[in-house]
Amino acid sequence: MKRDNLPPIRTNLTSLIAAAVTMVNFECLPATSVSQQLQELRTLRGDTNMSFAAVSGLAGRLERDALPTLAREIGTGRTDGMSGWVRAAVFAEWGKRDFMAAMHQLWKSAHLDSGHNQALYAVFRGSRPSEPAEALLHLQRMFKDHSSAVGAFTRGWAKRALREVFSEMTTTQPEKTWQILASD
Amino acid sequence: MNKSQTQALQFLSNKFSRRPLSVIDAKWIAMEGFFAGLPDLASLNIYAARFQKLWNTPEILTATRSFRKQMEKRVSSLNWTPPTPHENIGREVAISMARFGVTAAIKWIAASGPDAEIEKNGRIDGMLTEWAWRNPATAMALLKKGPYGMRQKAITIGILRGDARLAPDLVQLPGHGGSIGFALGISFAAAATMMEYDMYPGHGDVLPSHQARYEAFKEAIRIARIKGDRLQQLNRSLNGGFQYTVPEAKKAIRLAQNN
Repeated sequence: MKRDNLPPIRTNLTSLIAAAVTMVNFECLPATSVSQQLQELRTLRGDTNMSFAAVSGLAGRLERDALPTLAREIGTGRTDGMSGWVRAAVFAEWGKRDFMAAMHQLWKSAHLDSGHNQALYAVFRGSRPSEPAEALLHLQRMFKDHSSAVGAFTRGWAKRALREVFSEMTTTQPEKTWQILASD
Repeated sequence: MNKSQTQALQFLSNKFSRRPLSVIDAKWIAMEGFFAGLPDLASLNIYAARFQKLWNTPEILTATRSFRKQMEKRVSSLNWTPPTPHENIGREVAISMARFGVTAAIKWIAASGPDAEIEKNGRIDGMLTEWAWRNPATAMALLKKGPYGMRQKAITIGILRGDARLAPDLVQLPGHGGSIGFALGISFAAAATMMEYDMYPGHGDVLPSHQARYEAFKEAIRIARIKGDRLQQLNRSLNGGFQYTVPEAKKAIRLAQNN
């Protein structure tokens, strides 16, 4: 019986099992195969059972040298499908481990396209302090110290980042956040 | 938090608003985040009132005025102009209220001033579309509880734009009347574009995939049993929207041109 013809509950079970098997297999992968696995994932265009957390988990297991190599190979370009998720996960991990190197790579990028936008946002997500007030200062520094890498035409990521940071600030300190916004 | 956060915001405002004719300003974007982060309805009402008083503007209450026009123009017209900051804030207030039930947001807009019913209806529909666009799974769950009357079309359009993969199930729900073809047609262009929220990682951890969206729409058109000219029109519009990202759509366009 083809997968598409299965009744819904069975399809869901099949999906869950496939996802579990995928996760177990990835956990068992030697670190050197992780890069290859991510490369293969990039070629997927359609649907998948994998979660973004699973892709991020793989990126977290990349070896020190493999991470920048893979990030450079991915570069910019299409943001949809697994290539987008792999880019987001890999650049976030790179931003976490070596923020300066990741920004330098983006400064060298020839294409200020949506993939560049996606990579910048991922670097911010990977490198930002967890405390929202500090994250705001981190965002400011990205613009101040890395203006060439940030680029003039791909700032959609920064709007999203700023919106999220203020939303987080408000959750814990609404009045103090309001005071920042209400001041001239 | 201290003075440095205020300075950071001012610095970013200068960076964001460099482009000519731009309404992008860090302070307004931060304000949208502020309203999205407020934890309850009471706080939302308090701060919306303070916003209005501080900037001495009634616009917060009529901010959703052009929602529907904005949404429609975004996909159909080259004459689209960005919403003003106040419109954006009003939208965020209403959508933040919808987190606590869409009825609260509808009531807030309905109480927003002496405008004609048609204006208010436009604002409510616009808010529902934008809310469902951002929260497709929650909106789908709402419609599964039962038909949503005259507001169903607005919610349906939002769901289709937010997560096209829900389309085959969505078209099978009762209450669409004759509007499902229109809802599908008006959603293709937005769904064919990757948005900011698709970047990392996307709505509800769903992989943003042009291919999957295209296939879901095709399936939905088949299930909805649309026929005749309307069917041709929808297929043309679907293939046109996805022609640069889905090979099958490009092929279909070429085939149609050769015939």
